[in-house]
Amino acid sequence: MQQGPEMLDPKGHEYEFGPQDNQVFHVLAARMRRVGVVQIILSILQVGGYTAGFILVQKGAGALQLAIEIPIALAFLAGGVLLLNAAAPFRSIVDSWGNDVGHLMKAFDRLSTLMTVMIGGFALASVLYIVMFVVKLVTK
Amino acid sequence: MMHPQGQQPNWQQYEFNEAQNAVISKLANRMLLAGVTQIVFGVIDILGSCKIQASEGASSNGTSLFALVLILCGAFTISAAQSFSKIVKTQGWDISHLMLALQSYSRALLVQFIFYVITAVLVTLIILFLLLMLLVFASLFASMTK
Repeated sequence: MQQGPEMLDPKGHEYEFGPQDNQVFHVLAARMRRVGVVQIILSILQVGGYTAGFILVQKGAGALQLAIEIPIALAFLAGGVLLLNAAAPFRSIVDSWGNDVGHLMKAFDRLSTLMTVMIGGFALASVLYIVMFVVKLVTK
Repeated sequence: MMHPQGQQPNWQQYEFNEAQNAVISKLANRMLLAGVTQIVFGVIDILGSCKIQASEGASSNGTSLFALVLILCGAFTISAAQSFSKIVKTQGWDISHLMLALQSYSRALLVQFIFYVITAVLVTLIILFLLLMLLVFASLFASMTK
C-alpha cells in the first residue's frame, strides 16, 4: 500500500464533488450520451443495411457474412444503450446534491455491465472475424 | 508521496471505503479486459485485412481505420483501468486517480465520436456524389432520347 497525505472525509456518504470535479463528470456524461446515441443509430442502420443487402442485392448469398455482421451490430447496439444508461448517474452527480458517491457507485456498476458486454462483443467479434478471414482465404 | 500528475493536487481528497473499493476494483478489472479485447480485435482486423488484400490485390476498404480507432480507444481504456486500480491499491489520492481515470475514459469516447462524425460526413459526401452522378446520367440519357 502506498501512503499519501491524509485529507480524508470520515463521512464518506456525504462527500460532495467540487465544481472542477463536476466539470469532468459533465464532459464525460455528455460524451457518453453522444457516443451512445450515434452508436444506436449506426447499429440500427447496419442491421437494416446488411439485411436489405442480403435479401435484395445478394439474393440470399453471403449468409456467412450476414451471420457474422448481425451479432456484432447487435452487440454495438447493446453497447450504445448501456452507454446512455451509464451516463445518467454521472449526470446526476452534477445535477443533484447530497448523494454524489451513491450516484458514482451506480455509474460504476452500470459501466461494469457495459464493459462486460464489450468484452463479450469483442471476443465474439474476434472469433467470428478469424473464421471469416479463414473461410475467405480457403475459398479463394 | 507525489501527486499522480506530479504536481500539487487541485482536488480535495477523499478515501473510498471497502465496499466502494470492491465496486471500483470490479470496474478496473473489466475495463482492463475490455481494453485488451478491443486492441486484440483491432489487430486481428488489420492483419486479416492485410492478408486478404495481399491475396486479392484489393485496395484498402476503410476497416483498417476503424481498427486503428479501436486500438487507440483500447489504450485509453487500459489507462483508465490502471488509474481505477490505483484508487484501490493506494491511499490518499483517490479523487485525483478517479479524475485521471475518468479523463482517460472520456478521451476514448472523444476519439470514438470524432471517428463517427468523420465517417458520417464521408458517407454523406459519397451518397451526395452518387446522387449527383445519377442526375447527370439521367439528364444525359433524356437529352439523347429527345
